[in-house]
Amino acid sequence: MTPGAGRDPARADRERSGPPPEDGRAETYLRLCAEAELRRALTLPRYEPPALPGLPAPLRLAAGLARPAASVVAGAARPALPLAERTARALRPLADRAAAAVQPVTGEAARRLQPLAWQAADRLQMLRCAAPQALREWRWRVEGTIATVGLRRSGPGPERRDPSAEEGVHRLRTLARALNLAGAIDRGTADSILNGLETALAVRSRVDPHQLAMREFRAMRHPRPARAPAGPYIAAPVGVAVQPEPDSGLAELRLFTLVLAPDQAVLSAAGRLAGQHGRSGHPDPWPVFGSAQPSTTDDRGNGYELHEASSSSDSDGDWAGFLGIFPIPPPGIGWLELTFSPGSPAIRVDLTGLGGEGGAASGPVPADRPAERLIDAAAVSLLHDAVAHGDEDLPWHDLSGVADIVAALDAVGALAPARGAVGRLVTLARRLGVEVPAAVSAAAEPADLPADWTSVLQNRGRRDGPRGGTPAAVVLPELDGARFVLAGLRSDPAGAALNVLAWGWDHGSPFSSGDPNGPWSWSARDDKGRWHIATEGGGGFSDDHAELQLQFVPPLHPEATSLEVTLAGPTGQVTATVALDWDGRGSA
Amino acid sequence: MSPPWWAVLPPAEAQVSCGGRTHRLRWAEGSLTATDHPDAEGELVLAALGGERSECMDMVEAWGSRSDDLEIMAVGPRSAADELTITADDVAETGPGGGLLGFARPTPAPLGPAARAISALPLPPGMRPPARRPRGSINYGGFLPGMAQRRAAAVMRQSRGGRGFAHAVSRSSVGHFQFAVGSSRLIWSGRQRAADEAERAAARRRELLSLLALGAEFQLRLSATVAAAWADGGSRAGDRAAGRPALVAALTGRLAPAAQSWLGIDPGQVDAVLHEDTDWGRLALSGTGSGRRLRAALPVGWLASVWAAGLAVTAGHLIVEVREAAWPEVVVLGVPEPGAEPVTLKVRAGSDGWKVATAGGNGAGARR
Repeated sequence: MTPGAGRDPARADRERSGPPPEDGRAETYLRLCAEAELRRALTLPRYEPPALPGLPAPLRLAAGLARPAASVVAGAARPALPLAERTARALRPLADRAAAAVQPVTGEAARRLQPLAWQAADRLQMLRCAAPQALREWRWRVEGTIATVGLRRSGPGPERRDPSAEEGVHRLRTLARALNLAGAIDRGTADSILNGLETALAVRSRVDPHQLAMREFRAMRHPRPARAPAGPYIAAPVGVAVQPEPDSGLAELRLFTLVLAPDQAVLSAAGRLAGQHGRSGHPDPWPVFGSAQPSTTDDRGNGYELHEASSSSDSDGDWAGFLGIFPIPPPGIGWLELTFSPGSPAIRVDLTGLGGEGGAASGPVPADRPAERLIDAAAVSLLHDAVAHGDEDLPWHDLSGVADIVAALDAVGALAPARGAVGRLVTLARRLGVEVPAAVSAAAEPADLPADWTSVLQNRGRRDGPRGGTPAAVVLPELDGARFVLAGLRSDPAGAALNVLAWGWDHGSPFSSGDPNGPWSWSARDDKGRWHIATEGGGGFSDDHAELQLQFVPPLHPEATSLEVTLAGPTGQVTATVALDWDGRGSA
Repeated sequence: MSPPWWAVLPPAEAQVSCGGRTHRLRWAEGSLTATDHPDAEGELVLAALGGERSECMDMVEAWGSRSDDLEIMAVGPRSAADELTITADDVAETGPGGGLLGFARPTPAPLGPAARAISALPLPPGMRPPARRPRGSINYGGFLPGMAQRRAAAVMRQSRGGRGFAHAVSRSSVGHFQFAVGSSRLIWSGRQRAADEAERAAARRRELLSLLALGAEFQLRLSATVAAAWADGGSRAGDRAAGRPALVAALTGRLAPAAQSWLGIDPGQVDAVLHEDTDWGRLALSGTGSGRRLRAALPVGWLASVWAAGLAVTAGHLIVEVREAAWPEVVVLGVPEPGAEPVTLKVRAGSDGWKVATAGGNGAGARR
């Protein structure tokens, strides 16, 4: 989706970037913001980890259950791994119970708490983190988040309060990231400014001093990804239904796409859970194959192991996952044959004539101006909320973060290329009845919405998408050093989910809350003219690659036969066309 | 000729733990010395050759290496009232093998008893992990709260054969999730570089906190040392353009509370820029009431010779320059109000701060 396309290219080139980082304006601005934030934080009470007796009842219960084990943990021998294991096991119930304890606040509160719960999961892995301290800290964070929800809630509600120092740092980090994405400041400088602020707050007891260690721990856990590994990337459509073993826990299983990459080989799959859905139905690890011993061979007589690499399931009983193949098949083989259980028919995957990037993909073409895309991304996020969650959630949509970004871009002389995008955001927000901060509305006149956004709005209430799955096997051209492979599309009346494998993709911390201002965005248009916007519905992330599940709304047109998927990255965009051959039946 | 920046600061001493004993660090005339280590140079040579290092010498070295580090200005105090609560006990926890603030190097470790026990448990065939999964892998699972009616898309991720630590994330939904910890050996393989960087960052953080834990007097002196390095005649004066954003922020962050004390102005309404000329600078007040705004241009050296000594606001004047210094007596230029000409003041340090000894004439046009 490229709002503003068709402008004068020469002018676009001139306006592509804001002031360069060497200009120093953005760095000065961010440093002065940090000074102001420090001054503000010094008016707040010092950070005091609350004592356990003050816990709310559900947390107290959880803490009480976990404490004996936690004491064991705290006193355990020092070797790092055993301690981490014990700590994690001791605290896992606490994290679950604590999360459950706050669930009744409101749906929105629960949604806001979800990143918090992931943060807790993150912490569970931290070596040497003593359990009792973690209990106190957890409570402090839950309280802080509940208060945040109260702060952001419109209308009558809990008493408003100043944002905590930690929230202030988070707000500034978002701003720093936006300035970085707009090309106004380099990432290392922005990080050092925020790290300095965080340290300044910690040595004044305004934030939890453990944040400093966590920062380094996260840097180690989430290093910036290297460029995608060089070598061939192949996506072979499979599109075959498999009868799961009776003891597998799955009622249906469909294989989508075999992906061969330089560093791994995986098979994407989807299915339905058997029996009752829910947590009790999930043994651990998930027995996708049941008691069967799957096997894989190639045309050269080589054998491979097939195992579950990752999977997900939802409360509706849908299941999706990736099956790993080991070792990685060598280049040049003609086919792979998969056998899920003795006696079952072998599934042959033809690998001939698959030369990497499919003819269905094109690009990259240069991307639009980064500052403009930044603001457009915020508008698309609002648009997605409007379509995916309906009107009742929109009053919650908070544009104050966008207002910060607009003010910052303006202050550092980088807003000019983005004024059109600000105008579009103003129009969209007003049309959806979302409050527009003064800093945003003052920055630009309302502008016309692009046709694709209008299409999305027109179809926001539809529930007419086809039901089915298709391999959607496409290797996208390299973009900004990253590689993406489409590996399976599922559609239902409410929307569609696209599996994507990614390498060399700078996602940022998966434990941060949703960042609608990231440099990557996905959109699609079906051949019946219906536009779709995507957000990450979930994903598996490791150092070297990611598995994404993109959620597209509104639903695909029921008669669509192909889908054009566009990925926009920091400097360009690529497009791929996917045939919609639902479960081998052809399009609906 | 202006006096050296350190001439307005009296000597200071701090006690540190060194080799199980209590030793003293002494700052005087711009330098930090370890008074209980008379042969400091010899010790440093021995340490460089692999000999034992002492905490005192580590501190002296750290002081030297941070003497032009603008991070000190970002973290250090903004005013005398700005109390840093970090203590030596806090820092002690940050040492290798220390407590909560510490950061352990993630070196490969053998499997612990818990991991061994779990890996030894018999599993039904269908739940048997693939041979490629590292022994000792542990999977965690659970549910997260959310909107039940929404489509769930939580992605579970299990160990990918030791490919690295994996994370599962769900942005918008509820669902079952799993994540796995493989054996430590496999988790950490391939991320050594990130671990090394993190370890260096942790070491630098410990070093910074150790210096700040020496106390307020040392915090101010270290800040002054850094500012002096970037001021005219300092070792980094030639690089000032590159450090300008950090220096502007350092100046603004310290002038703002001083201006609040001087004029009662909102500290958020203070704009400062670096003054590069040879005179003392400029001060201009605009607006009225709560809309008053102070614009200032002061040299970086102001931070070293005026602010760090606690002279910024003395006897109702904003002190803008030190003319002569023989501690505890100092001759300064002070501005009684924005727009007014500076006047010469002779001030004397006492137990309750600086007091005017005598007031002199107009100091306008004075060259530094």
